[in-house]
Amino acid sequence: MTPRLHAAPLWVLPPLLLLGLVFFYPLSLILAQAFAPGTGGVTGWEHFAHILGTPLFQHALLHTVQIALSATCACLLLGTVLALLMSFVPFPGVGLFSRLIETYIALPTFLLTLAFTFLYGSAGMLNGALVAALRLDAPPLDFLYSMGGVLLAEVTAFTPFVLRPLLASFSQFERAQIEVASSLGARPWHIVRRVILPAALPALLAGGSLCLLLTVNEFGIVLFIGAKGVVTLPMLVYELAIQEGDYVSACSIALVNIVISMALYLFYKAVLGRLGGALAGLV
Amino acid sequence: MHAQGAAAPLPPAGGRGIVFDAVSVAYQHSVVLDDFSLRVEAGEFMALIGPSGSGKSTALRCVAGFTQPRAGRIFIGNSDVTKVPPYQRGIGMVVQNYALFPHMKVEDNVAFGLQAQGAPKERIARRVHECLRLVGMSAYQGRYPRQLSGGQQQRVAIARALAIEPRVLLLDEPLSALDAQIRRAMVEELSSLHQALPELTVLYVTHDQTEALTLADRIAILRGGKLSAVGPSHALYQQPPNRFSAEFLGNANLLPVVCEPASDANAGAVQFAGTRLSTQAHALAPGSAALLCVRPHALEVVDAGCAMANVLHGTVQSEYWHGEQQTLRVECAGAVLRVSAPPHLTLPPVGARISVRFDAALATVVPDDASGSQGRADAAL
Repeated sequence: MTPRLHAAPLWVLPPLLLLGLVFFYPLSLILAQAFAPGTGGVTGWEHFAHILGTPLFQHALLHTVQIALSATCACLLLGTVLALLMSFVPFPGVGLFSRLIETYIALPTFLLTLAFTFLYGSAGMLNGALVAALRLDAPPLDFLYSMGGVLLAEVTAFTPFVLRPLLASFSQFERAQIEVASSLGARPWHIVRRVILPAALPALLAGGSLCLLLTVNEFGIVLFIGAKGVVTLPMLVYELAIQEGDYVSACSIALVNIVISMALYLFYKAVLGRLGGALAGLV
Repeated sequence: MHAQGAAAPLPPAGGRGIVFDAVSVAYQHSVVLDDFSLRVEAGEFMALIGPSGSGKSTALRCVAGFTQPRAGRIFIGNSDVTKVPPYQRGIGMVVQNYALFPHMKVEDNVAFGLQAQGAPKERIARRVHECLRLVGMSAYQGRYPRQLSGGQQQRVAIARALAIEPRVLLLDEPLSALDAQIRRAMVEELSSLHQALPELTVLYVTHDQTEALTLADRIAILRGGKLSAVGPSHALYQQPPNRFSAEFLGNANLLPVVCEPASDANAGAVQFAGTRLSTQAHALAPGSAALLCVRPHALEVVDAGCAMANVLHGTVQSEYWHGEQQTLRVECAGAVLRVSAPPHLTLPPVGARISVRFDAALATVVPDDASGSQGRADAAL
């Protein structure tokens, strides 16, 4: 054992170098760019602070937080209701429904947005049906190209990430607790609130924090929908870097995005570790 | 002993009693409870016993409201609760695995039912205190279930069920998850609890005949979804009305006999392997095949020349020592008898010829029905 332990640093060196090259080096470039000196003798810190103070950044941050929190809350609500129905009020085809949801997780989000365009877009099926049925001159529904459309797409895409750990948690729930609670006089809503949801708290927190992490960084849905005036941090990074060539500003904003993501990721790991990730079926 | 018509309608139970009125339950094509009628009087401790799949837990779940009968009615007190949801039935329930709420402390578990019913805080606090004291768990009210032993958790589960002052208490194999030593202690505690709460009607489902005999005022034996026998515990044990009851409750010796005319109206007689034996009075016709039911502890080893009545001769097949007693298996005219003896007695060795006898008052004659009571009218004492 001892010789192998001594030899270990030599063996891990190549993968570490590769990891550093493909992962840490680009990150370090972003970090360096974020604090690069601006024009006219402006220091890196001053430029960084200036970027964070611009209305463009602040609106993007506000939109990002708004969309992430709203979508996460909606995912938690919808996921909880669906998980409760699927676990405790079984209906025909629930197994197939569960498997479809698992498949859904594997789909890229922009495909979902494309489907939404076919369904709810200006020339989509819903608007087409309404125009034909009501003999209208213009499509009546325009919500897809707004923050509402972004939220709808994100809730649809990310609810399965809440649903899956909840289903895992509910599958291990002792049904006798529900029966005893009912015999003691508790009505269904009281049982859900006082007995079932507290037991599912680790799964809820795990699913919710994962959802928050994904919605903060979601780029494909926002880009594909192209909602007017809805700019999030990833979108702003894309616009500044790719469209305007302002890499310094883009890296400053990307750094903020990375810090938020890392904080959420650490929170997610802490939740899994401390509140029973095994129960949620995720670790 | 008398036969009871299975479909006879039963009037509502008074006070806090329970009535099963011709209840049938079926899951898809499998009948789990078949035309089951039973009355549990207010304040009575009734044990439902039977082998696995006999329908005893299903019967209890019908009272709780978790299983909907396909036919028949359930009464609690004077109310027909057949269609009433579980949360409106006013029952306390204790299950095998305790089903305590793991995220709540002991006191919150006990308070749960009253909180769900919107009881005033003062009443909740008082009942929590009373019930925890009743089960000896006052010192543990601030602990979580995971910090308690199995026996302690079951005490908390009982306190939780009693806190709502239920109309009836349903116990579904409550001691099955405990080890033997704690189970014995809990049986004694449940017995004390029943004495402390004489007005409480208890329906107790178990497969353990010792628990049933120790705790219950009356016992109902189920088999294949039907009521096989029902009666006061002592009477059912001493005078089983049918073969299944005799075998299931107390594992009696059953000797194939032929009925003979009795010499007087208060006694009975049978013939076994050419020997006339005196028994309790029975209603079976002379010449009919029957089974003589004698408990192992009703047999005593006697000298070969014993001149008393009801002596059987046989050969010792094997011996078992259980600590509290020892058991002999004796081959006797083609039948095997189990004989219990106190642990200090020196028994004849395996292969030895011995004689055993029994009192006529401890010998019951039951019909020789190979399928037990199935297909017959329910038997009641």
